[in-house]
Amino acid sequence: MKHPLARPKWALPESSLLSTITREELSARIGRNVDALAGDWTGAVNERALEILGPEDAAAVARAVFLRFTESEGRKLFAGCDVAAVEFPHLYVLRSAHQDEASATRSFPDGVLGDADNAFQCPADVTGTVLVVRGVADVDRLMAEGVPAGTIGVVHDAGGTMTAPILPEFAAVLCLAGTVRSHLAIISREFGVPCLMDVQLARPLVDGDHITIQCTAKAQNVDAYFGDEFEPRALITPAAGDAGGAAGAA
Amino acid sequence: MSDWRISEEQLLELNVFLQRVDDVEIHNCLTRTAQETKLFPIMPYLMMCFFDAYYRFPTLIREAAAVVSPEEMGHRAREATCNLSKLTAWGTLNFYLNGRTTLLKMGLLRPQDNLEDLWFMCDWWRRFSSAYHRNGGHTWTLDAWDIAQEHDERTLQVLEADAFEADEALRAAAARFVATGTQYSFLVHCESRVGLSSSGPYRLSDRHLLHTRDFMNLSECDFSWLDGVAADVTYNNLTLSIVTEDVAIEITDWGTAYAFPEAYQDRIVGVGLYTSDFLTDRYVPVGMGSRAELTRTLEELTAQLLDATRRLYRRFAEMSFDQLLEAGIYTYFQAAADISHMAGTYRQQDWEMIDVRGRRFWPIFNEEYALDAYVDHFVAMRGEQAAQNDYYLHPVSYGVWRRSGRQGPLPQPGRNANFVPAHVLIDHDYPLRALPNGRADFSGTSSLPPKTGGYTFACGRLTEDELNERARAFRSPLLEAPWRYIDEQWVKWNYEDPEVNALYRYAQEHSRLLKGRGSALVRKDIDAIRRAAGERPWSEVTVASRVGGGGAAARADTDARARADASANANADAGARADADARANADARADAGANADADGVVADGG
Repeated sequence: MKHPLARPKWALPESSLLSTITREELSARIGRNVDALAGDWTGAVNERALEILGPEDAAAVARAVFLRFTESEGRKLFAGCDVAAVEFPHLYVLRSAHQDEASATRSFPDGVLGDADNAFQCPADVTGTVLVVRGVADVDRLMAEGVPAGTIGVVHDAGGTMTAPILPEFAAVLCLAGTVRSHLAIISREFGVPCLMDVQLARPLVDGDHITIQCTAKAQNVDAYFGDEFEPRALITPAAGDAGGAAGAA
Repeated sequence: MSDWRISEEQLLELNVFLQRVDDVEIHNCLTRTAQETKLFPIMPYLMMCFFDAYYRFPTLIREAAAVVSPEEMGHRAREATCNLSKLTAWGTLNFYLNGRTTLLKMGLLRPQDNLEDLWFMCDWWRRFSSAYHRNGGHTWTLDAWDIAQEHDERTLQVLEADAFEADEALRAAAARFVATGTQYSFLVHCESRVGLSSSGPYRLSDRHLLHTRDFMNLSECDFSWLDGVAADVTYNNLTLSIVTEDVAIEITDWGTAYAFPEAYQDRIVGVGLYTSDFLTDRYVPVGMGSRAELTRTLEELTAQLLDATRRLYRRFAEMSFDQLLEAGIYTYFQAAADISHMAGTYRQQDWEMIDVRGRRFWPIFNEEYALDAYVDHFVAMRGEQAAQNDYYLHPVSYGVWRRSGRQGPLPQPGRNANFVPAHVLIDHDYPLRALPNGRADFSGTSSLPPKTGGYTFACGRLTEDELNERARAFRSPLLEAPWRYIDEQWVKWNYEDPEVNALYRYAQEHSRLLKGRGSALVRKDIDAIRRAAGERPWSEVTVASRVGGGGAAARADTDARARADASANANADAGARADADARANADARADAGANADADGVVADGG
């Protein structure tokens, strides 16, 4: 049988190597299987779906993709959730761990640690002590022990669930990803917990850093995502009298 | 076996519709950013749910549609809070279409394959949505510049009349409930917003808007992971009516309400609370006996949700990757479950099962590829089926390019609509249905513990059999002639008609201020009724004149107490620390807020 989708007249390249490799491996596997089938596509597409691509085929595609990807990129796949990296350490590394190593690539003027989009405008800036919350285990511990007073939580997740049981206890939250329409921003606004999204830094923030975040900045303009002008980003600075925080002292 | 064939008229109509769906999806996906969380494998479950939706939604919805028409479901959904509202009703169609797109891009489907399913799904959604939105006339909020007005005047009049003017305690309780309910809903729904919806805004005066916030699936319901942990949550669905002063509200096609200014909570001046579900035909007041009772009720419900949040978090934290993946898939897949609920054709096993046709893709859609594929398919529109030709720009991405000052290169000519080729009209060479034998073709398994708890409704907690029995027996005069056909346009010119009057009196039956008032009411009557009850018309209610006072310092202090309450719920020590922390920050905010408030008062006075 001829595969009717084997050769499009034209195509746009995928936006990632992983997508390209996956498409190539899938096409090759599906093409071989379809070639081996008798009859026509109309009769086969549903009735013989698992012969066109069965579970074993998919597993083989996944293995081939992983091999090519790791050979080319020199790393495992990124995982967003903790349990993926825990259960499948041979496949995954947490994206957040990689970001920790790769972050702090922007330069800022002296006295500025970074900037971010403000989720909502507050009447006063917030000064507090950084606590980096890396995952579910950290949240579990903080649920039991409580979040120390004056803590500014630093999280990778733009989602609203990881910090769900403890979010209202933070003096403020800094998120290293996302936009002001992310779930974390939505929930922070509802709780009135000051929140900066898409934080970019001159250096990674570490536990114990004493910082001030400019929550009095204007909230980021959501229409900027559709082409309007962005509002100036909120600044993150060392707290007054702090010589550079925990990282500086170290 | 069906002998259905598509006509040219249908094909052309279908393709235009598919493009409109694509426009709305791409517009919304531009700001979709919560691609990852440490707790759930979001992107894999999102992509995997599309496959199950593609293969099984047509069969499940076809079965229900044979019992209850799409139009009737649309009317029922408008009369009560249920899962068929904005995002979830949209998902019923969109998850299916995204599955089709993904299979197309993988080379496993032609655009014309399973064409009867495609026509049925689009037709069902259009009919449902046209009924649901019959008053506003916009099936997409995007087409209404992000407002979502569905409710009938008779419902809105009750919400307007019965909302209590918020003193500081009620304002704080409502704000805290919205925050806690929103957060809990994200957790219940595995990080998705399918358990939240909103309606409005509706105009009450030159400065006042009414909008509603819906919270669904709060108690034991279809989701097995809520068994036990949500047993103490009294209501499954709650709708909060909120009156604000000097706030702009927008509501997207995903049902999310955004306020401007963003910190709108201080500007809440009125609140009401209701429950409803697909076994009710009206909103049932909750704690609406007095302002104090409503405040107390909101505080009690908030405490229930806080407790359930902590218990549910621990349950999820103990689940395996596969179980979390399945929970996420079920969360999205069950967006369409109210269709079966309403028809009385609901079987838990149909909605908590991964079909073999979908499960085969699990190894491919790992955490990283699932994200890349989503971006390629539904944001950047890249890859082999990205567009039919190399000339047509996508209206959304080209619009963004123009609006941003024509900076940078032109966007690529991506499309996501995947039109059905007209050539099929020549030979009609396409399969009709993905599962020709319907439910007999279902084949799958689940790794989650089976559901053991009940299903929570306004009428109490039911079993699956009882749920179906009550759904099949459900009757409402709102859904039958003549009331079904009394819409806003008819009422305007026929409000003195005895049938119209009877309809309004039925809608007002549970109202604390409008009971028995009938269909001739206009706003000045509602104002007079409120005034007679010792309550001000909304046009006279301002933040500055809040009942019992409540300037910025008082509000900040209440907020501080609220946050301390949340901490105290964790443990006493943590609560004490958070209390001190919250007070310190609240003091700072209050100082600055007092200045801002002073400015506001001057402005108000002017």
